[in-house]
Amino acid sequence: MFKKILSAALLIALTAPVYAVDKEVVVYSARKEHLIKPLFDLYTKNTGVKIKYTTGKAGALLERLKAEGKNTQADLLITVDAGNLWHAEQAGVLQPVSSVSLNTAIPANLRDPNGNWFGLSVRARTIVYNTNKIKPEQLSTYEDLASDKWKGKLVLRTSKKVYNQSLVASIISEQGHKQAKKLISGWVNNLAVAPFSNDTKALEAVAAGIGDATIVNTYYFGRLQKKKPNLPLAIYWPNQETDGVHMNISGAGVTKFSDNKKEAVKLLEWLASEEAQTQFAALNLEFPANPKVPADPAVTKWGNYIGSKINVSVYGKLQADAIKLMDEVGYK
Amino acid sequence: MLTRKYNKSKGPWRLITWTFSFLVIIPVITIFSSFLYPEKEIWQHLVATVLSELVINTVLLVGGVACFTLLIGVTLGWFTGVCDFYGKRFFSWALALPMALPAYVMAFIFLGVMDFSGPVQGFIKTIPGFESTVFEVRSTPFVIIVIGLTLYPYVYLLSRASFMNQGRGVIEAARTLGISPIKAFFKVALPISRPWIITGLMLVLMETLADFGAVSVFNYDTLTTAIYKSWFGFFSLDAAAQLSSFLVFFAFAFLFIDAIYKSRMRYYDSSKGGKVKTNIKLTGWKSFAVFSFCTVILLIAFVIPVSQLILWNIEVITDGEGVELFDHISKTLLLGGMAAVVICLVSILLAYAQRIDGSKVTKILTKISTIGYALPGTVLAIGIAIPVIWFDKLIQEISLQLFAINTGPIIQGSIAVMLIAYLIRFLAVGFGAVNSAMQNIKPSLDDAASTLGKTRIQILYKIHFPLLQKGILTALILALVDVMKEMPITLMIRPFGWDTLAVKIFELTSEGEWVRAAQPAFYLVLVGIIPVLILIKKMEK
Amino acid sequence: MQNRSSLLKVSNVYKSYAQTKVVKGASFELKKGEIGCLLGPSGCGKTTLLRLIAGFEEINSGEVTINNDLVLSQNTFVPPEKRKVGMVFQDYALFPHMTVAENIAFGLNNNKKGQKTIRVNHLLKLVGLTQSAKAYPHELSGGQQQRVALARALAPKPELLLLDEPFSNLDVSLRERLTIEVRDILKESNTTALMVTHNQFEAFSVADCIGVIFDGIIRQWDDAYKIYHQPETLDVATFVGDGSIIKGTVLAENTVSCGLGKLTGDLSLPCSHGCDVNLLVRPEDVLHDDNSALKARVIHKSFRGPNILYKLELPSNEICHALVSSHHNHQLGEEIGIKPEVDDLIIFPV
Repeated sequence: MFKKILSAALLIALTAPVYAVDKEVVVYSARKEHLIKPLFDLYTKNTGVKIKYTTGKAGALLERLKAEGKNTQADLLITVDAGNLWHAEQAGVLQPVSSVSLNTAIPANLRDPNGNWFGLSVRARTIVYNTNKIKPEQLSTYEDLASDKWKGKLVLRTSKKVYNQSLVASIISEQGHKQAKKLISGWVNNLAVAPFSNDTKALEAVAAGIGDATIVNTYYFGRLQKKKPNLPLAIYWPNQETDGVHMNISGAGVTKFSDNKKEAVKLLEWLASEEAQTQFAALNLEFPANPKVPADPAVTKWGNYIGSKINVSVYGKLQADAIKLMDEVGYK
Repeated sequence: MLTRKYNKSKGPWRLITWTFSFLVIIPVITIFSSFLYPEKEIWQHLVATVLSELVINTVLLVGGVACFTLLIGVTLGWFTGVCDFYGKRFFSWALALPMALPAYVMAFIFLGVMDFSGPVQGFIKTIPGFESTVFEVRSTPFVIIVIGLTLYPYVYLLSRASFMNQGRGVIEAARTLGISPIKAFFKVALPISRPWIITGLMLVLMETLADFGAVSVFNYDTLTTAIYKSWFGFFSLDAAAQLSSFLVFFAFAFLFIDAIYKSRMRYYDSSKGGKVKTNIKLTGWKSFAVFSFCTVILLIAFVIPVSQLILWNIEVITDGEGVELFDHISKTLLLGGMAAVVICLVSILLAYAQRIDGSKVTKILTKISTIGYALPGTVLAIGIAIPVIWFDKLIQEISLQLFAINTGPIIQGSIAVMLIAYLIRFLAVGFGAVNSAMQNIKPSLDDAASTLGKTRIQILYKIHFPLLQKGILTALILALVDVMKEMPITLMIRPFGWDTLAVKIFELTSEGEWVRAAQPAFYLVLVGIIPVLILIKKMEK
Repeated sequence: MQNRSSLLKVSNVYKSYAQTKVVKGASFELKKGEIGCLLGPSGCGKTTLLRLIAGFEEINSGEVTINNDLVLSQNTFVPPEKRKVGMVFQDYALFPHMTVAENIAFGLNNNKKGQKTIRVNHLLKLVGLTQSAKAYPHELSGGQQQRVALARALAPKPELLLLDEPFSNLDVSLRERLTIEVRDILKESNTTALMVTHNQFEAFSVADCIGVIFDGIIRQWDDAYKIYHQPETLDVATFVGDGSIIKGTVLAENTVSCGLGKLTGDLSLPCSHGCDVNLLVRPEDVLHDDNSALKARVIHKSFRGPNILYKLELPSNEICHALVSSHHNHQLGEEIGIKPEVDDLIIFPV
């Protein structure tokens, strides 16, 4: 017994941390491993630069960056949702990057005006409906889903997910707090069942006929469709005559205390390049942020749509307001 | 009558107790220090909107899980411990298997099977007349059942051991006094076993309180979900920490209740219980009823969920989405193993220190050292990360000032920090097992050894280690299984490249990829079952 | 002032827990090779005293020396493992995970392996357990366990052996046999020993000298004969052996008048004429004599095999006991003739 313990102690001593050496970029990623690793592998293959990464929840990674301060090993922060990127910038853990190639590759509304972060893929949060129960003509806008005719027919994901927080934030930003509250409260009144913990569950509930329509990120629809092509579900692009479909991003920024800014910027530029963009978006059935890059065929077949032109940094600014609003109207 | 005193040699042991309780206290203090930055606005909002509901939900959940695990755990413990019925030998170990299933895995399997789009409701719709039947399973009772099904083994194992060790003798005595077996259960066996049952229940309560994974699958709002929301939604770590102190308060309340019961606990000396005692024989419909009850529990708590995992696995692999998980498995085992050894070592030291220095202060400090079990992993992780980083910066500053050397980060991001975090989180589990074994060793053995010229350390090594073996093994296995299932701490403070199965499960489930998550989940259950089986076999002897 | 021949010296030891004084000024000495015994009712402080000597407790004041080495005082504390003291525990405290031989060898430290075996075998033989060397404690009977505990304690050749109620877990017949055995073993190995017991018969059959303790104070330190026949205090007198106290008046230097008539013998205390005293009467000093003029009424009797202990009411309404051959079986309430026959008049001031 004693020997076992001794050898374990030895093992602990031997597995002390190993720190970054040059020609290595360290990434904190809130984007999941299976959605990012193939790109890193490709980059390493192309350039010989090693990428060391750890994944985690956006908030936790941000807190870690804040706490580590100038001792951080991270060079690049990748996260989903513009709100998270905005908060990272606010917390001062990112640094501005002025790169011509990045500025030309990524449209202005999908990046921080000061270059602290850049969108790398675009995710549209749109309406999906049950084709057995309703016709697309019956749908029009997000706002319409709050009207009485959808009573007991709407399915939603939880308000705790940042995607919905950003959606509500954009509504607040466009229509003002009062109008937004009326709208969300209309949604809550129309709910068929309690909100689901994720988009896939919400989609499956609509497919099972629990409700008529739901609001989800397109790639969840894409994934489900790939798996079960026969589900009676279809995408509808709302608000085409007004402000467009709600858009969110996943993106990245160089950390303030990066020891390796040059390599970090290079990696970021490559991620925005045409070579990477195709894969980056396709891995998760998202839309590329770089407009020159065509989306995956599985995605383009959903048809063209007009996306919102609002600068995504608003989502971060209004996130807390959005959460409070949803708490107030009892959106769980 | 006589208190045990060796003042001259107590110093170092007292230091150990102080050191480890201090270690545990650091994150708690870090969390409480958040009150220096009151988040008035967030609190006002929470009080005005959701707080009362969160507290009610939390109390309902914890209370419900407590009742459920008591009901299931104690009855099963009774039947398999002191009754004879068809299949008893099989059930007595099989019923502990659900321990290997993390609550968050159980939750996503349950919803996968039972939700609107799952096979059960799908099947019901095919029955004529039920085409439009839907029922909601994401409700309080089902959250309670799902969490309860993964946690009842704690109560089951402890109550069973207690019934076996001391139940049968007194039940025989009671029955000679003309009391029926059922009455004997309520009047004699249950009160005698209460301290052990309470110990199991404590573990259940703390786990439930800290659970985030399972409740978030159900979108069931509790204090832990509010903690996450404050942090990841409002980006206020302070508000999150302030909410966490609610949980600390609950945990202290539990510890207090536990202490009241434990103060009356008397340990049974198994060395004198050599006589074989007879079991209560169940025959006919009674035997069948108990058999059916055990079968149903085993089916819903283990067989069906694991079968579903296997089915999903097959689906994933045939879809070509299977991934290589060897590295995740080995990291899971390695981390779990290292943490279990550390937890065990500290448990032994603490239990030993308490034995040598039985003062009130020491007892209170040891109690405090086990409080980490009730803290949600994420909060605990932050409570640890902040002081660790501060320590690193301090060392860095000093060495810069004195020697002009930049040491860089020293302990942050190392395995050591992770192990400390696991230690704080799961010390309660290891300490409980070691300490009860320690208390079974007669104090006179220590005295005898010391009059025979042995020092404290020699006594620990030559007398206590061998006699504690069973307790140590129990502690090792419980800690191993718990650490392997642990998700939030691992997620937050693991060093680069240390992705475990739990991390993989998180990544896939948070993307709604439940079917793909079945693959790592299945391996996690698999690596968990082996130690659980060893544990059960050991407890049999 | 050190007495060269004393192996254990306890001087004026005080010990209290919190507010409770447990040992209040105990002093006594044991010479090398002597077997001492602390006798007293439970809770009198005798075990505490033993544990102080062993090194499990500290003291408030006083001194303990073993072989002229100071091991315990207010400022000195030699830990138990350094005191060269062996101890036999009430529950034997055998290590359940070791065999008999391993238990005995446990305290043998620096011996070479061969010497260790020789010593263990010697002890096994001494306690008559050679056959059981490989057995585990739980496979042995109570008496065997007791002897293992003794052998284990003796193995490192301690300067002093302490025995804490060593026979209390044994049945009566075994106890009597073992007390003699243990005494023989101790004498054979010339071990100085101190035993604690509440049983006077154990004390009488094992010890060379006995200290009777009440309430944390050693009331008398003497050999067995003196403790029994010349108790110095009333509580010693009543604790050791059966006996009754009756009132009396000293008439002359060797005569006391009491409920049993005028008794003549050596007074245990010098007492002047006319002084009122309490007189201790042992049951064996009161003989049954049908012809005696002195009659007493039987109010209780207990059959003890060879004899019967009668509890009698004297004409003076006082109670005394008489030990009478069991052939003389009298009924309760019967008046029987008795005749006191006393050599030592054990008197205590009123």
